[in-house]
Amino acid sequence: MNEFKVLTRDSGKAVVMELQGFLDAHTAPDLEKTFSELMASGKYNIVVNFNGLNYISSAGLGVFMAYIDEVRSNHGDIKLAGMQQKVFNVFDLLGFPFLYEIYKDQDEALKKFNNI
Amino acid sequence: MGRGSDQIVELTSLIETAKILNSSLDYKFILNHIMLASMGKLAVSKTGAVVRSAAAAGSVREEFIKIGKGIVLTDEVIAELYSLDLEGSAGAADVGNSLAHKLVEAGVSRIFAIRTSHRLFGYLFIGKKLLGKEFVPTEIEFVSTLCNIAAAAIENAFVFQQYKDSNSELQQRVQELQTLFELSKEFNLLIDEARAIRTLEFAVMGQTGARKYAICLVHDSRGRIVVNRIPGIEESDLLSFCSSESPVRLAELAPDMPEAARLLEKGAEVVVPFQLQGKTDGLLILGERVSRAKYTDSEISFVSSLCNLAAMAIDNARLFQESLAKQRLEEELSLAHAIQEKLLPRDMPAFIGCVVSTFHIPTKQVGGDYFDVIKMNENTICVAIADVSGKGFPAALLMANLQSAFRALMAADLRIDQIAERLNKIVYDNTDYDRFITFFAALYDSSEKSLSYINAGHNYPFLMKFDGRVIRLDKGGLMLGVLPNVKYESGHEIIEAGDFLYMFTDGVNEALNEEGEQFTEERIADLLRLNAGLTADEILETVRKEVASFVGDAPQSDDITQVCVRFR
Repeated sequence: MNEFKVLTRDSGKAVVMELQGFLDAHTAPDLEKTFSELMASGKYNIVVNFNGLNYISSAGLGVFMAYIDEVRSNHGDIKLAGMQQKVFNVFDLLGFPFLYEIYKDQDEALKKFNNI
Repeated sequence: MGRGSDQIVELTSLIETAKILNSSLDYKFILNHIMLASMGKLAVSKTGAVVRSAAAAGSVREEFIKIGKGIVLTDEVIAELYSLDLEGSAGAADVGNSLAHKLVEAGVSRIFAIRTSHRLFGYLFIGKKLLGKEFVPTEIEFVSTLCNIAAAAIENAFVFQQYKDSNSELQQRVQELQTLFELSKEFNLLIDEARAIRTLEFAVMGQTGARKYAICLVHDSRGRIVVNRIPGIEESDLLSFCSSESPVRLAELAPDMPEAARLLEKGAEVVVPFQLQGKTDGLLILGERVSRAKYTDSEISFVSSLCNLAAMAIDNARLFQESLAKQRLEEELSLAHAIQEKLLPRDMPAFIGCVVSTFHIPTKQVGGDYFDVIKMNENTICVAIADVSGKGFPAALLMANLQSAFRALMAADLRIDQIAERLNKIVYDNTDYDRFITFFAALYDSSEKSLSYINAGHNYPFLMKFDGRVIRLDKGGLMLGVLPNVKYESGHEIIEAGDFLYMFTDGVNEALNEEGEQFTEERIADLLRLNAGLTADEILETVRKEVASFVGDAPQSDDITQVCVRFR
């Protein structure tokens, strides 16, 4: 099976969420769980590192949509970083660059939070 | 320098421009370039340009791309100019009617059409010359040529843009299909309504970028909102949509339908019903999305397919929960059944002066038959049989209650008629008026060779005498639990060697065959008479076999209980 893993760690003023494997309708609940844990502990500055993510489907994208409003209304943000081209293409195709800041790598995204 | 070399310079610059423009697919770059080139050549300080974007001509994305260096025109003026479909170049003042005035006011001196022979792409607007001079023909010719080159380049860009758009649209369709495929797989695995709804939400948000939406499940034409991300929407707003069969755009309905107008005002745009077997099971209400674009027909039909898949998953989840509940009930029933069976005596202790045999076939459900065999002391045993009205849990509980009360009372050294009175009171107090128990109990004292008994409305047991006489044990009183204070009269019989006592519940005499006829007490009596020489076990087995062959394939409708005491 196509595994999906999500690891989180604190980095300065933000939390880095590292995704690995396949993110689709089946694995979306895992990511949802991680997001809702972050929300519960009041962590709203989030950098998602896509380096290890090999595939994302529309339902996977939906998870990011589900939390962006809550995050921003708490003065935080979800910044995306390190996407493989094919993963970026899906984001791009569905018009997500309208809504999210997308960075080449994680450190660039982290700087945005830590320079505030 | 002479006129010839001027022309060469001009020609070279035009060729250079053509090269640059044709290698670009960006309209803005192209427009920018011809604007700058004309400003330089004609010595004007203000220019402006406009093209209609590639996806124009009737599509939803129709828009103008405008660039101004000192000249900016409103969309209305531009639209009017487009309808004129100008060719070549014209002085702003020469353009017909009110337009001329608006153009001059915006600082336009000359207009150049950017077009190929068959299509108008846009216009280049040139302001006044710096020193107020008129344009000379060569200048106009130069800019016209520039515009022709630009038109060719823009046409290229258009074709490319159209190709890109259709490619991206194709990719969108592929992505939608993938999502449908993925969700149909995922929905098949789901057995939880909340999870199915969440999966639908993710797919809709991910695929369409919807930020505002609500999901309402419909049952019997009534809606229950389960997810609400459109502030202010209430179930009452959705009533008139609970039976809609296909997706609707609220903006189209709003003029004739106040409900649609109200939803639209609250931020809803499209209502998509979940259809399952021609029935509306739910509604997805779509509101604002990330791109703020309208939902296209194809997106709506995609969302509709997704909703129908979800309806199936939600329905499956409901069926699964129902079957789970049923299974749990069945498990509890079989557990209760097992407990009840354990309440009935299994191993018969040895008794002086008699042999007791019992036989019990419960129906599948927990039932209301009860029998008991209690060794009171070395010489005395007590046998009892009872039938609690009804079946199922209530009957089983009452039976358990009867047993514990009876056993407790037996230990209290009371007469058997007193025991019956107290049992009656207990059962009366513990039950509703429609619950009662037929009950028979007998005490046999082997040293006295006497049998005393009480019959509270139970089928009369048979006391088969050694000499062939049949005594029906009918002394006693009313069934237990009907009236609060009942007096019971006990019966007494002398027991002789070779007698036997046969007790049964109505599962025996009322056993039905396939024609619906009862087994009857007469058949029991005949069997007992014919088989009087057999042991207690053999007698019960004989009756059982006869009942079984009488019943044939008809289903067993009641518990069957028999107790036989063979006296020595």
